[in-house]
Amino acid sequence: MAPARTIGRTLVGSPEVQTERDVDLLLVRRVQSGDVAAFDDLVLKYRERMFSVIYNLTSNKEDTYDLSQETFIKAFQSIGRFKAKSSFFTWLYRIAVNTTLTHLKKNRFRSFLSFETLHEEASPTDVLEALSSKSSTEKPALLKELQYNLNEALQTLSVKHRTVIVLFEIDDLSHQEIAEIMNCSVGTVRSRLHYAKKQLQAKLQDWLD
Amino acid sequence: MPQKSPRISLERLLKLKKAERPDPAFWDHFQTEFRQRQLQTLMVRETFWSRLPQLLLARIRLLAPLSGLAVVLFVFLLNYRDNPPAQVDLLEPVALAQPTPEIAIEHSVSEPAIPPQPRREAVLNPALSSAPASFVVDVIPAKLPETPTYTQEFPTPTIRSNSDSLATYVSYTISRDTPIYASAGLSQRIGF
Repeated sequence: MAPARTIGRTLVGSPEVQTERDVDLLLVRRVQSGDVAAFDDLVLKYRERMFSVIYNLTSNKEDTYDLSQETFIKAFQSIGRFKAKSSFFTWLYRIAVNTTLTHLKKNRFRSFLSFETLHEEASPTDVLEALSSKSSTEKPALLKELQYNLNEALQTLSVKHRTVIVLFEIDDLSHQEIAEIMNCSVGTVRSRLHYAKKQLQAKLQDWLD
Repeated sequence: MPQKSPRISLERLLKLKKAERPDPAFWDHFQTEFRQRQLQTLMVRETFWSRLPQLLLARIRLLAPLSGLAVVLFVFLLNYRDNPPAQVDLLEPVALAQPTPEIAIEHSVSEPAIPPQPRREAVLNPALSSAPASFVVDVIPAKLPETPTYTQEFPTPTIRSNSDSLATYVSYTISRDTPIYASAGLSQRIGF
């Protein structure tokens, strides 16, 4: 379990990240100098990650579509002001998270769930096996039930706790990156993560035991 | 509800969320719509910037006369504040506008004025109660505009009369609180 997470998560100052950062910066410079088509490459590169983080925060696929579009349009409109103080990736994440949080605040009293397709082949095999051995229910039905419970449990968390758990556990971002995106300290990120996990464990007790 | 069996950690369970994603065909639609919206923002931007000089010029043309008018009005008000008109100037037209004194004048003028004529008394019309405290009016014959004996001691208003009976000028002092006095041939103030 722990090694899998370490593989998924890249360290902020690693050469791999530096290269990615340089590639992004090159594309950003091209856009800034008037090559609008270069922004397409950035969208192609990050659209799935942005979609994922927004979807996991909202649990609504229609809202996710609109918010993802809005995120990229906002990024495109303000790319001229991007000074490369942080990586483009962190900057884009910040736009996505802020756009989503604003949307959630505006619509806190009229939110409803609407799920994306859960691809069985993309699900972690160990989880699927464990679930199959737990229940006699058919796997697709079981997955549907789990999908509902997972999303429902996430939506019971506060927006800040939800953001931290989504960015760390699902999107594999480091504490440092999350702190930069959420404009808070690493300690705050750790603390929020701890409480969010505690709450989720209580909500998903039946699936974990 | 799931039965009791091998334990799954919360972290592993949350990884299942990664499997929730749209079909590949979805991204084509996503990219197409994004390009459309991107073009829209570009068009709006270009239209605005290219039209900015035109808009500014149009505004200047429209605002120039208004600005000029505002400046003139401002200067006028400034001048008015610094040099308010004299009190006499304001009162005179009001006094002359009163029709009643003219009637009173007709009565007095109907009799020939022979210097030195004793004072004649006239009854003040109640309508004059709103008139200023007092003012002096000189009535001069229209035919003899400038008599050698006529000197104006004060800047009094002058009325020219066509009446044949009026041989020389008559000076009237009209006061709100006292009767009207008239004296011929000599400009003086009575009634204060």
